[in-house]
Amino acid sequence: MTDEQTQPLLEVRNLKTHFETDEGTVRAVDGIDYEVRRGEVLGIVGESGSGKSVSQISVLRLIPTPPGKIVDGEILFNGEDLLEKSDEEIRQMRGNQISMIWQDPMSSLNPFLRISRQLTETLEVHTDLDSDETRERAIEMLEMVGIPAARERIDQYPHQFSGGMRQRVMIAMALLCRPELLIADEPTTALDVTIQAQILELIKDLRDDFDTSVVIITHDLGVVAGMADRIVVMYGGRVMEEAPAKRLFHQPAHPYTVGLLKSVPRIDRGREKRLVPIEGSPPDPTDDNPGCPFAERCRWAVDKCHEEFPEPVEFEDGQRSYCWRAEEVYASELGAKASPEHQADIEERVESGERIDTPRT
Amino acid sequence: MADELLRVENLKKHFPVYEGAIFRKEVDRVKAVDGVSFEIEEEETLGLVGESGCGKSTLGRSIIQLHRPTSGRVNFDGVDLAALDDDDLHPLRRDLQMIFQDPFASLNPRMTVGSIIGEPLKVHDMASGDGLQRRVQELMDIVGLDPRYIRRYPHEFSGGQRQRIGIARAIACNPRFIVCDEPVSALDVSIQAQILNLLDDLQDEFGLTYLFIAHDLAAVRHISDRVAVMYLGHLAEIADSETLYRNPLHPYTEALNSAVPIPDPEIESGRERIVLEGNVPSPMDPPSGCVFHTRCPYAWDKCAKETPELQEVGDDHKVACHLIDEPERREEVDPAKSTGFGNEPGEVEASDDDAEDVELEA
Repeated sequence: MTDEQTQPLLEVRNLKTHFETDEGTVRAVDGIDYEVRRGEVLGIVGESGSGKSVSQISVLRLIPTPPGKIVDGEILFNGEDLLEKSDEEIRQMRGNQISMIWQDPMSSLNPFLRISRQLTETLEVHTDLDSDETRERAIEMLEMVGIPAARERIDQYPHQFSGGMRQRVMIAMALLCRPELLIADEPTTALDVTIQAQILELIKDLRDDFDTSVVIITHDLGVVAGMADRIVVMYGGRVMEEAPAKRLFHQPAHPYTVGLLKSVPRIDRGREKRLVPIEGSPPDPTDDNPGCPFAERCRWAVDKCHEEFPEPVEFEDGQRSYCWRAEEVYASELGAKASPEHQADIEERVESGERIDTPRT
Repeated sequence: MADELLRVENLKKHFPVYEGAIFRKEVDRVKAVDGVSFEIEEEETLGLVGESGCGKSTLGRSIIQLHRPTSGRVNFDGVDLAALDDDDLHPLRRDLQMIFQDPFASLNPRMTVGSIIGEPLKVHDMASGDGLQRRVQELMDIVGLDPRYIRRYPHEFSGGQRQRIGIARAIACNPRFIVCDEPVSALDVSIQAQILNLLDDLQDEFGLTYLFIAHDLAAVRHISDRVAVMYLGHLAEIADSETLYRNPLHPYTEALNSAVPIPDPEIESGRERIVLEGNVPSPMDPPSGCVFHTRCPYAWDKCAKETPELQEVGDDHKVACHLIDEPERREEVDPAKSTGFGNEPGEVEASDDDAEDVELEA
């Protein structure tokens, strides 16, 4: 029993998912490690092309093969390697123990089928309930996710629902079998802000009600700030940093995390502060780069960064950073609260090639 | 106070809905913009926010006459654009430009960067031959593109670079007014800041006036001097961006502000959201009275009957809400769970930024 409680629900070890294309091998995910603990919300943050979605689709073994292939690594769910399972065994787990909510609720429901049909299908596959029972269970779930008049609306088609309501239907569908792990891929990106707020509240409440572990994939640091217990930051197919949410925002140990925090406009900040963008563009995923994918855009980069990808550096509370200069970044205290003067000072010292041990007061 | 550049008066844009293949007749109207008035000063940025379907893009396009308005006036530097015919409008179009949301769909894939940026210059007879090429390369340099890439095609550029091409095209004719329609929402986070800074720099350098349309309130607040909030074809509130965030008076503005997540877990954990119920109603059949009353936590019978006028409540701050006349009703209702941002001052460590955060409570 103790084993089950301390063991993470999901452990991803050295996962590599590559795609063969005409332009060469795309290293979408190129050796990542992280874990999802029981009952926690894990945020995976990254830009497009960072590999954040592919890392999760790999967990469900939904990578189209060819062109894609999981070329290396282990994905342990409750201690069992999902990559060793047969297709049939994986099919039994999808929608049952592991469920996914997709980004676009417009295109992930079948427009030709009534909502009832789409919801009960999952239950028919995974349970022995008869058709009346599955229907009742589906109505109950629609009510739980806040669909008014669920008993009537269950027989409608997807086009009769608004975007926010469709996303609720998706969530209901994902939770029908009470999964242990819910993966939400940009669940609110296609929605308006007021609807986004509704959906995030809903996911939070359901996590508490069902004790489901949740992985939220997003490009929006704001979304995970309020939701996640821990956050993994990805870039160029690699994990850059992993930390409890508060630590990540207040004392980041990776230059990319620092860059993200400084570059997003915040509604609670006024116009007077100029944004500090990350110069350059994301890397070409077909490059077989032995070094850190962020090195080209990184102000902190030294020669070594272009040659070899760093080993993780550990800090308090399980904060880990994959950076050769992680300790220096950490020591310079460049979190969300750092003043522009302090940032400018640190930047100047980094630029001059100085080693940063403690922040100058 | 700077001079007024643009004055929009009671602007309406309705799209007819037809039915019947042979006997086509108008059966309904989508009231995308339904009586909007405001003004923009020279060299100012006015932000325009609202949810999808609220009419903000239609409003932007109606101002620069990409859609011809159904009624109302658009005074640009003393001339009513809505009253001009196409020939009279043509020479004015160089002053009125637009930057589009999607840098993938708004550039012709079969044209080189040089011809995309140079096209408006040719249309308005502003340059030709060597002069045209020099001007295009100068523009590329201004927006941060390598002028040597003049013969490349859009697909050879990243999203952020494509948006720079779109910006170069928009500023090619030395315009005075640019409508920026969601210029950064299709871009990656690390690229958005580059483009926002570029727009800022161009404004300073060339004295541009912007209407900045976006659903992202954080970006709008960052770049705008004043912000207008739109809901279902109507203006709900307009104020300088500081006031609109610190002291919103329209319940919709309050809800929008509170719905925007702040990338800081300490602030987020102490923040209560006003979660609006339901969705934006259809603009084909808007609610009676105040269009927001179906989702408003404070609404009472008057709101369903009378449309509130946009009225001045303070220094350059206008609101369209019946609560302004009966503020005591605000006390009676707790909007959903609670209002505002419930940070405990004691929990917050003292630093420059925190001073701002604490002010949120005031």
